[in-house]
Amino acid sequence: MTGEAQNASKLTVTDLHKRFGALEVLRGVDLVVPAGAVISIIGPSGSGKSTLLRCVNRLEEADAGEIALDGMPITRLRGRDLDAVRRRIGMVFQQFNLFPHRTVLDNLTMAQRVVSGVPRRAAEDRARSLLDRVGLAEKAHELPGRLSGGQQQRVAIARALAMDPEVMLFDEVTSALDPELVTDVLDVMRRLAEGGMTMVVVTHEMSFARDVSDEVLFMDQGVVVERGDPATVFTAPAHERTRRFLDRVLHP
Amino acid sequence: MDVFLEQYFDITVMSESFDKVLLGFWMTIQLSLIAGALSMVWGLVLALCRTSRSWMMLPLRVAAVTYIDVFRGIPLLLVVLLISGSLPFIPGLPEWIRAPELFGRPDVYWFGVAALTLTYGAYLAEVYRAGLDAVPPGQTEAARSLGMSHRRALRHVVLPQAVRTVVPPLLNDFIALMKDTSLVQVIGIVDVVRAGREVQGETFNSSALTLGALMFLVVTLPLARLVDRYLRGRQPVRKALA
Repeated sequence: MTGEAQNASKLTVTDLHKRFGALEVLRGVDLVVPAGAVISIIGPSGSGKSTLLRCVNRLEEADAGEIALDGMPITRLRGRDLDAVRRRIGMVFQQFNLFPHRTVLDNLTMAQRVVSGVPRRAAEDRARSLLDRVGLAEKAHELPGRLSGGQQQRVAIARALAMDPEVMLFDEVTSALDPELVTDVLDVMRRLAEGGMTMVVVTHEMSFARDVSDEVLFMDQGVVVERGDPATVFTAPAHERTRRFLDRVLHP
Repeated sequence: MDVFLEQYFDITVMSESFDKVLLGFWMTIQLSLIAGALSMVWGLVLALCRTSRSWMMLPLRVAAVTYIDVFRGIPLLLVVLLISGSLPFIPGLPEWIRAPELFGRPDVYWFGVAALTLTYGAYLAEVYRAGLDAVPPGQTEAARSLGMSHRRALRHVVLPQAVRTVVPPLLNDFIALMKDTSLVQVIGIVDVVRAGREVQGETFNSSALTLGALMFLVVTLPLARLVDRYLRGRQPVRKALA
């Protein structure tokens, strides 16, 4: 990653607040994602990391705070403008959320054709090359239900990439997978990061967070407790809460 | 035993009345197909109003809920009578509502279609609603995250899945609708039941009605089997939907 790319903030979150009823899930979260950077967010369940991610592409509405993409605020966009911004932000979900009634290929071409008006041939060419990239070219005509969880998740990544997003959000994408299927998905993400994609990754995969990220955030109870380069956070965490969490997940 | 057979299965009565009963059954089929198609569309419109989430749709949502409650709660026969006995006498209504004679069919024909559509639209709305509710929220979220508008997500992702799930109950309700078309004979439509009754009145023999029942079974039994097959065949996909 070049120093130049580091300077431009692709995605900025400022003082984000979100509550569900009485429960305050986010209590003033800041996040700066430079273009081309990979940010991993770790923390115990219920710490608000998934909610933060869902607020970024407005699947959840934040109660207060600001979200900006390329310096342009997107927090209050509605209708077509919001749809247009979502197209620039790819999201991959824990439960894959592939469209079960359509083939793998259709899953990748649907939004291209419906949203961006790409002609069928062009959409399919793009879909096939993306499937090839995630190692599933031969599954193009299968229904998602016939694939393993790991394969489904790789299709879901390819589906998000089909819209040519500028940022990719990963919401615990390996948490629903059998352990032996995790590696293939992480490999795809690793290669994506090497290719210069801007990524925000909520994860329980500590090795991925340590090896691939430019910055690691530790969240607990709705706030970012600690942030820094992975080497520091993982080997010499400054906060007691970070230390206890890492202790628990690294040496169970 | 002979008396029983003769009363219900008199071959002579059956063959003599066959054309008349078949003509009545053709009327039944027509009413079923037209009212069936219309109520499938009407039911979907009602279900979409009812399941809408935005506050702008609130009046429509309330209207849909009220409508469904009312028409599910009153007998079809009552609706038939309320329509045919009133619409022609309300001044100010446009001619095509007071005395619809579209496509060369008499007004009672269309009153029958209207009553069936109004009532079955309410039933089918509830079927569709169950189907819409059964589509996991993650599907909409995935579609929206790809930049699809609410409408596009509904049309390309949610609705196709919802409709697939409810094909069996829709077919079941279509069978019920087909049988309920016999209620419209009270306003003078000669359907299969009316045809059979007229023969019964003339001959004091019920075989024409039996013939009508057999004609129903020829259509409804294969439909029922189709539902069974559909339910069996869909198992793997329904698991994938879960």
